[in-house]
Amino acid sequence: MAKRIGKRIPSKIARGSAELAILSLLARESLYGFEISRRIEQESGGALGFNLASLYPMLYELERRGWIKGRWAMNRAGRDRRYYSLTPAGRRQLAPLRRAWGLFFAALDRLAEVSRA
Amino acid sequence: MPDWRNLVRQKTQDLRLTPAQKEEVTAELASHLEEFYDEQRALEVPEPEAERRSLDELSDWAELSRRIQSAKREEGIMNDRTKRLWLPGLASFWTALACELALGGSSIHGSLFHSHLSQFMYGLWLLGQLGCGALGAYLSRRAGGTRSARLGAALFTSGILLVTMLIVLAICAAGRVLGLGFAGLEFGILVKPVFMVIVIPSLAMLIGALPFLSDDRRAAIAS
Repeated sequence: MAKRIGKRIPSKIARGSAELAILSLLARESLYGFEISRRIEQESGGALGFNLASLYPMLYELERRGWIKGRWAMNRAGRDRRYYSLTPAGRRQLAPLRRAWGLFFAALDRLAEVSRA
Repeated sequence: MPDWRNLVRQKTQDLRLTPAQKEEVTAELASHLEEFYDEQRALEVPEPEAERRSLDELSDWAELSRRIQSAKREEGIMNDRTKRLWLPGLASFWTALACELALGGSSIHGSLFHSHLSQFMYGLWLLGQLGCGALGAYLSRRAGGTRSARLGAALFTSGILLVTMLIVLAICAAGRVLGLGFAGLEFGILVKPVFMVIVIPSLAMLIGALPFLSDDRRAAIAS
């Protein structure tokens, strides 16, 4: 019998997954908005995507919470771009968020055998 | 190439932010559109089509403005601090008050250990404080509170008692200095009540809050 899941998973999945994707990318390096959207698309094999409407409200929300910080700097093409980097508070959020998603996928897998689909 | 900055400025004119914030948002959104457009052009997409695709990145500017405003604003009808500290703290405080009333209002006096019955009531009261600490920390965690917010919510009642006691002491001290009475007041006699009514209950609240100081995996996904 599958191990009982002690915690129920709430809604707002899409929002939570976007947070994890952004924080994970920024844990590696500082990126600006357009780069973040392209990197997520590339690294997820096109399965995940952000457009302007979904990306920036999320970035501003994460910044307001103090998890990421934006600063203007010049990109390789010599244009001013707002680069985002992870703050220490954001780094602290990342580990529990990863664990939570691990739990979520494991739960979903037990329920729907997602990994064998 | 279109003047993206001007276009964004026009489309987001209803955005209610400070001028500096607005300018920054405009510049950032314009740079995104500019980069998208350049990417399309690099793929040899004709100019009009590249422009159309860039604008397709966003169809509802009013909705974007609303979402940016909501994400950027520091204070809302109910800001994060209200949800994560003040409301859980007040819930804990009112529960502590209800607990006090349920025990006939004698528990604080009983804390001075005048009789066995008082000790029993004091023990019951402490158990109630433990529950109040747990309640404050739980509600704060549920609202996505940080560890310090959860602690603050759990110890809210002790904080109020401490502040009240300090105000009373300040008034008494001022009264003595101004010769308005309080001559017989010895501050030393307050040490025990402070210990019994603030310090020990704070420890009980802290113990009650402990299970809720760790991160909740549900909250992590939902936040």
